[in-house]
Amino acid sequence: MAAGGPGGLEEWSRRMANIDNSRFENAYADSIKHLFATMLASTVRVAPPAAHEPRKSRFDVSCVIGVSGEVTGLMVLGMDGLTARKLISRLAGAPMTLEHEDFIDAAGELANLIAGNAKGRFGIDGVSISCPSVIVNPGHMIFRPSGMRTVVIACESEDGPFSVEVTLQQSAAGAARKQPAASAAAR
Amino acid sequence: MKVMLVDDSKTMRNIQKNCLKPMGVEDFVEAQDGQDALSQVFAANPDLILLDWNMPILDGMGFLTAFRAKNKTTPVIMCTTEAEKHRIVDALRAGVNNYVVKPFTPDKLIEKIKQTMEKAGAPAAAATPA
Repeated sequence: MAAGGPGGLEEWSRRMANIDNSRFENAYADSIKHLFATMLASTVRVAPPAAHEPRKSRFDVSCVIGVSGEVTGLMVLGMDGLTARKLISRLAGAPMTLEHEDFIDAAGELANLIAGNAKGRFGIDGVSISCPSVIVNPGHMIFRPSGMRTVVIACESEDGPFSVEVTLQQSAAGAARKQPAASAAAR
Repeated sequence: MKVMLVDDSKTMRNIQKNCLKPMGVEDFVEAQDGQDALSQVFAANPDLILLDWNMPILDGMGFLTAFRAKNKTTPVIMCTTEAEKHRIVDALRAGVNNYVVKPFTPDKLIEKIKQTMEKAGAPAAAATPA
């Protein structure tokens, strides 16, 4: 298969670059800021969504939430152990270690608050999110579905750095439903 | 005032308790899903219910439908990340008295509780900060 031919790497890159998921991806950035301004009562710097570099994505704690319906994919909240301990203690309002019996519940809730609030900012109905899965293991990696674009939202909080990685695509049914409205607007 | 907290996250129930304690609320009943809540609610007879939407086994709307079939008066506040307008309308039609979108500030939750209790005609002292 030629790199530039049909189905090749260049074509795939062009196709990925043309996908405009920015309103969904920006929803996660806004949701993170809102969470810190409300329940965490803390400051955070949120970088714009950027291209994901899989080799750089290694976490000690990650929380994965699936997205289904009109938009499909997943969100990964990833942290090093120290940031996770501090950030989750802040949410829980009590000191938390990675071994604490409530750590997994609190980590999952942190991810749920980000993903749930982001979903409300999508501006479309018919999107569901899954219960969170939490992985605790030093330096682990998360593999995503192939052929879907992933962006990373790098964040710097008072408790340390963390990232939210978003892999999303609008479902075929959702995109088709969007088409008539866009055409009507053009007229 | 006795408050029932229905949420599958213990962390969220603890956060809600920490918001309510400065109001003088000390009497809590906790449930981790709608089914668990239904098994306790009629015996516990709470003055207020804070209800999550997305929970395993039986979700908040499932609980609400079953609860409202037998009890039309106890105030219920839906406390959820579900923020879409149609969701809020669905919840209000099903019988919730108020709606709080997570994440919230303690002030916002307290304000909604006061608003709800006042409308329900509950004793003002029950919703006044200690």
